[in-house]
Amino acid sequence: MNNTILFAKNINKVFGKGKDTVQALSDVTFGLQQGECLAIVGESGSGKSTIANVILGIFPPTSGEITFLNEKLLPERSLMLKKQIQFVQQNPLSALNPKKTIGASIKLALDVHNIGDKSDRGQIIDTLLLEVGLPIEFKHRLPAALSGGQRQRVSIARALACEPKIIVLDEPTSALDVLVQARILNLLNKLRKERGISYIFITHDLAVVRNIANNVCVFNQGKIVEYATTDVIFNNPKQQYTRQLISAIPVIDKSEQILRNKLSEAHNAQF
Amino acid sequence: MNNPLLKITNLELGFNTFQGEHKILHGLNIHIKAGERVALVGESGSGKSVTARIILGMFDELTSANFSGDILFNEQRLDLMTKAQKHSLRGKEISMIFQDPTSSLNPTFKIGQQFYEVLRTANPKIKKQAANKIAIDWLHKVAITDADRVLNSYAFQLSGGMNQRVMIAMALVNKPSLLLADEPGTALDVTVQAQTLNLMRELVTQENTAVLFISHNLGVVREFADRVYIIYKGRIVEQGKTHDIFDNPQHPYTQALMAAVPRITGGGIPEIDDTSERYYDPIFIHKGGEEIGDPV
Ligand SMILES: Nc1ncnc2c1ncn2[C@@H]1O[C@H](COP(=O)(O)OP(=O)(O)O)[C@@H](O)[C@H]1O
Ligand SMILES: Nc1ncnc2c1ncn2[C@@H]1O[C@H](COP(=O)(O)OP(=O)(O)O)[C@@H](O)[C@H]1O
Ligand SMILES: [Mg+2]
Ligand SMILES: [Mg+2]
Repeated sequence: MNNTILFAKNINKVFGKGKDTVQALSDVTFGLQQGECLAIVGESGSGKSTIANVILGIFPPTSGEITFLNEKLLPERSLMLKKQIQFVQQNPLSALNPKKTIGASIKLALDVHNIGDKSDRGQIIDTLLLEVGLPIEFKHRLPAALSGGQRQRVSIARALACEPKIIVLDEPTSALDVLVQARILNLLNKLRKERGISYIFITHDLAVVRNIANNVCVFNQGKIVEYATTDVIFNNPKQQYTRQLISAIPVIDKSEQILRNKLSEAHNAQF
Repeated sequence: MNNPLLKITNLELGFNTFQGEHKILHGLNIHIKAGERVALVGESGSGKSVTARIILGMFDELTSANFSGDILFNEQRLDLMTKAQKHSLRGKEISMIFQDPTSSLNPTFKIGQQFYEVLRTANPKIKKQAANKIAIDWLHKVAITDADRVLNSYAFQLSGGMNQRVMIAMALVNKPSLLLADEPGTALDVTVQAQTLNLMRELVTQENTAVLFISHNLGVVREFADRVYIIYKGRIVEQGKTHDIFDNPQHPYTQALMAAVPRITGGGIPEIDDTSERYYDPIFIHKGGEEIGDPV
């Protein structure tokens, strides 16, 4: 089976010069299949947002290459490529223009990428809002008049408006309350299945990853320390760093506690 | 019968706005016994931080804040005290830790100087050298080995985890009987957060310090607290011993919260309403979660 839609090969990213250099990414390699949710997890500073920016073409890698649909991605991205790889970030308020209504923000994406006939765009906006679970009247509102979860739905609707192949999500639910998070995660799952989109889901929250991802890259200091299916990562991780991360998660029920104890024993047994 | 260390009865709070009064707290009853670790858990905006602020007297001069209710601390009515009386309790009898240690530490003074100021609130005559000795001792207690370097540093020169430990040491150095901890460690990575909270729990147990532990994170609460209050939109909806709340949640809102937490054992995420009439159901109090003889 080869439905690889994006492949990142030997990516390095170095910031700064001289003695102030930071190697934010070291030899990062992974593939993304069509319809897959690939999680990138790690602690703060491990390089998660840097790989997101490289994939989105916000800045180029220092070395290494990314192929998308078997074509090498160049630092200068065409409009078509920008349309196909969309971005949803942690703080939807900073991603939305505070002076534009929700409808206008989504319409801008449709206009820029020339999606649908001009006369149909109003209808497309309504359909998108319904698809992400917002009332149609919300198109007249400003972002400030929405809750955090509602704003995140707007960001998702705007990404969907571009009919992307991939959405890069950088901590999309980290600022949300747990009930709101549950609803956004379910929405993302539904959209992925219905539309066959692929996600690169970036987060520091391993419990979220367990319930949303097919495969997981564990990042530590810019390197992938473990890359496996979600089942393997949580039931039989090979690396002690992964076990250590999972063992630190505060859990709420007994079966979780048992799993955590098992992993931390395996972790301690290595010393 | 021993009275609790802190007892809040029928606490109400509202803020004046252009559209009239906006009610935030609708009659909270909370009690904490000496040495007890009690959590107040709920979503953002539910009224956790304002509760801590009222206890500390931080709204006393805010004319837009209207509040009522009794606050009994160590048999004294906090709500009736003068500013000076309250001030003398703060940092000595009652201390506080905030979410973001780097911004709550003063950026312009070295850690050593800040320790000295904290110690002086309890003992105005303390000498710098004596203060230094106590500070080093307490930094050791929070597992900081290079205490001399840390005392000579500014907050921005230390990592988030290190600053959080410094905050814990400063909050406990005067041996308060009550610690208010508002989302401690939330800004830290999970591994650092776990270490920090373990340390804090060991220390408050050793010192018999009571804690009001404010958090939105159920997992962290389960590991830290003896007893739990669940708050929803300014109302306590469930209270009880930690294991009763987690093993046997009874209120629809608590049940929804628990169901929404993603598990490391998987199983997906169920469809849960983020609002519901049932979340306003009356409070459920587990046996052992009430104060004996107290009307709740
Ligand atoms: N524009 C930049 N200039 C210099 N260093 C940077 C820049 N962006 C990120 N870094 C550094 O790269 C490392 C990885 O950062 P980042 O990818 O943002 O981590 P994460 O998203 O996992 O928290 C960090 O050490 C960070 O300080
Ligand atoms: N000084 C203030 N003036 C007006 N409203 C306030 C003030 N402080 C807090 N609030 C409101 O009170 C509610 C509860 O806030 P808070 O206690 O901070 O929530 P949390 O449970 O997240 O700590 C929120 O709706 C908040 O906007
Ligand atoms: Mg990041
Ligand atoms: Mg708060």
